[in-house]
Amino acid sequence: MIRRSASYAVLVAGLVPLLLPFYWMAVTSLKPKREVFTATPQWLPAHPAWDNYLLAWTAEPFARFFFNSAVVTALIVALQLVLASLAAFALSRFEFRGRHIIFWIIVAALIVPVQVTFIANFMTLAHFGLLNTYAALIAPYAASAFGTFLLRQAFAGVPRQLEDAARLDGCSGLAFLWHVLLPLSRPTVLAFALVAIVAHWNDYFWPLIVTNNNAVRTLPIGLGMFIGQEVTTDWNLLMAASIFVSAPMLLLFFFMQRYFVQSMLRTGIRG
Amino acid sequence: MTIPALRFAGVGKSYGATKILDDLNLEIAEGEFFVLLGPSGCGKTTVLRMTAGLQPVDRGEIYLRDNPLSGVPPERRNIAMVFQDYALYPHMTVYHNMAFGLRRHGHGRAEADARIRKTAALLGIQPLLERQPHQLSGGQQQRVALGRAIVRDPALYLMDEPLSNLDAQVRAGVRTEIKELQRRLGVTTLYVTHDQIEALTLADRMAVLNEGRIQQVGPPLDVYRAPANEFVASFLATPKLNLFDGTIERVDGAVLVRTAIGTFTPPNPPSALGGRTAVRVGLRPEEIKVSFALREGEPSLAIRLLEPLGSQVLVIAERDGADVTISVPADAVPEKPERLGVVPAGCVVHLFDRDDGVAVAHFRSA
Amino acid sequence: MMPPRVMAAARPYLYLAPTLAVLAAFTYFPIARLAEMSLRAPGVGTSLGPWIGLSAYAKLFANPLFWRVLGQTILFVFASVPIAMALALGLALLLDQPLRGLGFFRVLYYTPVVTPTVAVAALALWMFNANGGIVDYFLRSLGIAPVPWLVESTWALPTLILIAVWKNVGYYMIIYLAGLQSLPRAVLDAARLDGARPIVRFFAITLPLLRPTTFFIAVVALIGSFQVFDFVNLMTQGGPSNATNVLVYFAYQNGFEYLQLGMAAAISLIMFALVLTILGLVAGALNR
Repeated sequence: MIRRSASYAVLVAGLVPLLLPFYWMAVTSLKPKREVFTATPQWLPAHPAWDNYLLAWTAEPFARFFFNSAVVTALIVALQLVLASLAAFALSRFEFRGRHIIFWIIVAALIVPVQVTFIANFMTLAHFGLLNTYAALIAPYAASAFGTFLLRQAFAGVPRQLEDAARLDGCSGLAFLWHVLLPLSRPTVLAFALVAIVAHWNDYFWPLIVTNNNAVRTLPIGLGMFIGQEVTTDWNLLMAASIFVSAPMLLLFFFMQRYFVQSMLRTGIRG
Repeated sequence: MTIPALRFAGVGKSYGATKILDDLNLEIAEGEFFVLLGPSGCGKTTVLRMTAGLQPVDRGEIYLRDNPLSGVPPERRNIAMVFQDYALYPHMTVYHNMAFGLRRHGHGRAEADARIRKTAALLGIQPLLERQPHQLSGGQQQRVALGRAIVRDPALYLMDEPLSNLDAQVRAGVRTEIKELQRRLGVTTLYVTHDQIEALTLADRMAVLNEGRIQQVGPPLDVYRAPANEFVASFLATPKLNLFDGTIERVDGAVLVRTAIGTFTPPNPPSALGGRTAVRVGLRPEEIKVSFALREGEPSLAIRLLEPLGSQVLVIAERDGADVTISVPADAVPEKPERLGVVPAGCVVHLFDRDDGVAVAHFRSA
Repeated sequence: MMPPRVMAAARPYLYLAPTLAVLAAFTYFPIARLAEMSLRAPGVGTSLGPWIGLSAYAKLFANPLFWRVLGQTILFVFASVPIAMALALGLALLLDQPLRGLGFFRVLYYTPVVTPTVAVAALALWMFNANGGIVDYFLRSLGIAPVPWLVESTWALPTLILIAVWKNVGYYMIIYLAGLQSLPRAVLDAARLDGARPIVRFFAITLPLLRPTTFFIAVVALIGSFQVFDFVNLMTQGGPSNATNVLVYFAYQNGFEYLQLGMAAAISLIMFALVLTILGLVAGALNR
């Protein structure tokens, strides 16, 4: 309907404001201090200052933050997969009283973001003396309504007859979940895991609420602190830090893009 | 000379190097019910979509009442189409499904309303007017799809296998209704199907299409009686055409066609035979005469399988490794028959060229 | 040991228990807790003070800053979400053709979505900076005077709206594209033959059939709009002069800076009520 060349032109034009900032971020990160502020923008650094990265990395305990982020993200996603698999298994393959209500109760949780409940959750964790611990960072996210929903759809699609055949083969219950349902739902599991990894690695809000100690702070918090320090001064270092904080997720995304798109497609677009 | 309602002149379409349609030439008269028959992938749906303007024509031109259609978008072709999946607007009531096209073409509310009610009465769908498509059965949806086309009163109806999604029992009834409707309304119709029964019962004239080329055009009975080639003959046979190698013998000015199952004699030697000594012989299951009382000198066949179909029985017999399928009236079949013989007299025989399958002659054997 | 029958019947509940427990503890119970907190004075440490009824709410409603914050929140949501959705739909329509490089465009447009908000905040601060900021440079080269993006009250919130749209448009685009590709082609073909030209087809057929997708994106976008906290906290701290203060940041300020936990709880609940109201309105509008 719309001419193809015009479509291409608009799509490419749209990419400019979207991607140029990333290029600018990369370029700035490699500029020595004197090249940062110039009358006209220099699109390539004359003398790339690769040690900006080292300087930025050592300016804050980023190594520790990186470690914390990795551990916390891994634990959150692992827990979510376990809890969501079990919940989805129950909801999709069993008949029991309250099945529908429980499903809607879980789905309803999707519209209550952490930014609404944070005050109360903070108080709860403070009460148990769990502030500044991995537990505080992980606990509210241990269950995933989104993951439960996605996996339930995936599990429900496995035919009853397959389950019957597995039972006759001696495989039922949790064994059926592990040996049949999960392998058959691999794309969904992967898609969900990827989305969850990105969401929790990039999370700034909740770690801000429950941590104020470098021992447990995560990468986004570290970068946030660095912004406070370096804003209007060392933009090049700040950009370098922004890059190494974003890089893991950008790389993950580029290598696994097919699976990211999958998760979008499975979330009930058909209403 | 009257202007044909629809004319295809040298129409061709390719996807890359593959030719979907090659040099299609066809004329359809005003008010005619024309059926395009062919197997899946033969290009018939492409013909329909090109006529509707949903796909561009690569070569040649299509004329609607002598006006070339290239450059005219589907919105302005004054053509209505009944889709295989009905393609009703899911978010509109039946009434609005029918009103949509009328309003788009500039008809006033009152006029549209009158037309819709009239068409609804014609199809018996008045009680459904306020319902939505998902509340209707398949048969009802199909009627609404028909109604949507009829209400437009276009220059041409296009129908894309409209019966294929219906239950077998419903199909025959709807088939008859479509035929009667078209007679009554007199709108030129181009109907596409792979079902030969639909073609034979519905068409005023039909064309058989295979691999993008027209094999034969003509009234259904002509095509049935005198298929132009092996493909047409086998496509218009139930369950399948029997084909054998045959040798020609010329004896005393007469011609004999010898096959593994019997020898056939045309009443008059066919001139088109030329000097051929070998042909392909085609016999339809329902056009072979048999006898269960074996006769001297005639080859007999061993009966392999009987498939009772009610009033007819399909007998599958074989001789010398060649299988024959014969359709025999049920009460002519004895209890537990083991052998039968072909009675040449009265069999309808079709001869085809051994190399290119083109029909050479059709005759009733003496 | 319970009889096997009972064990078997209990299994689904057992599997659901951990999830329900976590959701109860960190999603549902907090709502009740927030209600309680908003009705009591702040106490010592993690305990709560005496019941003070609705006075926290009264104080809030009497505070002109609260109304300003509420207005700015609503403005932010009603600007950033529809703009991003409209752009996303436009882009998706362009991509919904037999186009080469579809996957390529999809990936590139989604890049801002996977970038951490912190990095986006740092980048935005740099790009919109009065000194050396590249956005002003582009404006100047087009003959337009540079804009005090984050420095002036009238410009600050629009800047955040722009950033929010930038970050999310790729996400909504992919969902819209999936929705478009799942529309039945034959219905659109039928509309063409019925005489509906492209624009008519879009409004009469495509858009209505996309309602479930639009609803889904609206919900996702609404919940995602809370992400603005990160930008406010890192870039403007609610300023200049509270021009970018939104409910979620206001709650944070009250709770963690002014240590007015009761107020913070009240604001959080009001924010939640606002979300539910908007969701209800959207559902009503789209499921007509």
